[in-house]
Amino acid sequence: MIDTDALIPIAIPITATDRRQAYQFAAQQPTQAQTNQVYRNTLAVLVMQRYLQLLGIDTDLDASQSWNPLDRLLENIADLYIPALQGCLECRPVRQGDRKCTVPEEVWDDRVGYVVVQIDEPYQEGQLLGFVESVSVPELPLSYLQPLTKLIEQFLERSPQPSIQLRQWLKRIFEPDWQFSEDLLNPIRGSIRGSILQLRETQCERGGANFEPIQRQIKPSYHSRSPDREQPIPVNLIQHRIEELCYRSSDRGQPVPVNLNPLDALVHLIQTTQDDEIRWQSAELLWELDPHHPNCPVISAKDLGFYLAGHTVALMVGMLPKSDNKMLILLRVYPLGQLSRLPLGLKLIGLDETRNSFFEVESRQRDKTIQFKFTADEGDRFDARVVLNDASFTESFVV
Amino acid sequence: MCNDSTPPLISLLQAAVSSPIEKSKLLQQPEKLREIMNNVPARRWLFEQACQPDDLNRAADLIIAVMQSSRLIWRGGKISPDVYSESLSRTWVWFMEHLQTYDPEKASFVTWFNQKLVWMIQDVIRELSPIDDQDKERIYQIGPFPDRWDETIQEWLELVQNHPHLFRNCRSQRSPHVNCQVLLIQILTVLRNSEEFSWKAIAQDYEVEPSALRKFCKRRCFPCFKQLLPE
Repeated sequence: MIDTDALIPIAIPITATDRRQAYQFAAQQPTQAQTNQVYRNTLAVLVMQRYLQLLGIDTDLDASQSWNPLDRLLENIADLYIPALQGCLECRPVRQGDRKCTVPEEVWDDRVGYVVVQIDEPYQEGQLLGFVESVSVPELPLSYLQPLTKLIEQFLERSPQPSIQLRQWLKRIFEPDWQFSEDLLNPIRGSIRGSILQLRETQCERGGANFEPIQRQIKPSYHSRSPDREQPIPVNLIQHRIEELCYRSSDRGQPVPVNLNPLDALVHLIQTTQDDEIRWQSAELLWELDPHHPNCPVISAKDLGFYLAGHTVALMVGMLPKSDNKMLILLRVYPLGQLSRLPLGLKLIGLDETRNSFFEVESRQRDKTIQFKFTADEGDRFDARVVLNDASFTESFVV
Repeated sequence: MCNDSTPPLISLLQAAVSSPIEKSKLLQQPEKLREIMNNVPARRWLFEQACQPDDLNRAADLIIAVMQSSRLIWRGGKISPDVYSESLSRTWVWFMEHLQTYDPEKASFVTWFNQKLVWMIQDVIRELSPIDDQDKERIYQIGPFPDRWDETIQEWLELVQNHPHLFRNCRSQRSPHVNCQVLLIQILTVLRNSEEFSWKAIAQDYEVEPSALRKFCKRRCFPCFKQLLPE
């Protein structure tokens, strides 16, 4: 499977700005030999930086020793700090016709790898010749070089059991087995409908928002969205539900401005409430009313029937961005198809990065759903596990 | 048709090729798909089915679906999304065109695919990097020369001498007697006087290990020094 183009060099342009930078560094050296070396070292680093930039990889010159004047004076270095690898890549220059690359002893340690860059007058371009992971000889034969694909691999996500990256969901990119499907999500709508219809007889006090235009606001979009569905929920019940949420928010000292229309009142609640229960319920209601609204939560679900010995239940994962790049995550297990209640003793468990359980919910007699909400930071990892008797399903997520 | 001697993974695949419901059931189980990918007889069976001219599409479609749902295809990670998605599309085109040359004994479909994907990324980068002929600015072909050395080293020495407060917090925990400012002045003086620089000689003055002194300088003192310089 060796490609014939394995070691064809990659040409990267050197700009006038690069040469000026290299000249400036080089002029601060005491001897002509050191001047030449620093000039070429600097260009090698800048060529590699440009290549990584094309790949989309960030580099940090200021954190590189080659960008420190004293390091340059005392040692023959050409390192480039790469935050994604948490280390420095050494970029060694060679000339056309060289069969070996000089690698001074001072750069044998503390490097994530070495690239060899061929740089010749008039310094218009650099040729990336190849990569090695480690060096412990002063002269590296160029025949030892491996293709740069060995370096590219390190930037790809290659873990054998990849976690689901929830942020991809925000871009509406779902894994094939977590595809959005009406069969799975209609029961969620059912549960929201259920909670709204329960309010039928409830008298709610005014929470503050002005609901005069609610008929005009909700009716058109609500009716047109799914004509083949059950009867729409009476508008006055939705109104009551929103009022109730506003009322609960006011009760916690966070009144909703009176001049907002219903959808805006929900958005206001989602963005400002300190209470995640109110936040989630508002978001779910908004999703029910207008699933394309930009402030909706992202929701998907997976049928666990194949995992739980044929018990047709689904695991739903919902995600709602909060301030400071945090996410409100909701995990819910609910029945599908003919089932109207969850089997008794079904457990929903959350595991943190160290596989320690950080919550566990168990279904009781006649439970329709079980769920758990928590706030996660960007980069947090967790597992969601659903257990029924001896059968279980586990999925890993990265926020 | 499957019979009792058919291995279970191949039975699953047979069912998935002939029934859309069985196929969607199978695709819901990434672990099972990973098992299929790593099982030589299973992928040999899939490959042979895909190579039969009359049934090419169904088995080939299943191979692609199994690969995608297995979540084994390397993801973009830190690579630019544009570069990654272009490379991914090209790799799928290549995969379909070259499926006949795949060898199920050597590697899984996904391994074969992933290896090509990295090369595609390399190709895309190659195309993105045109050599710029418009760069007409004067080229420093001759030189550079060490033309500013004397003034540079003198400036640096004075900067360090005149800013003692910047080095107050720069101390080695293991050797608190090593003073960052004094150390820098010592190093710069050696360099200014064109004497031979050696970590060993300076380390002897402080009675510390040369490697420890070098590490302290590179991690703490030199970054402090850099802060003194104008941008």
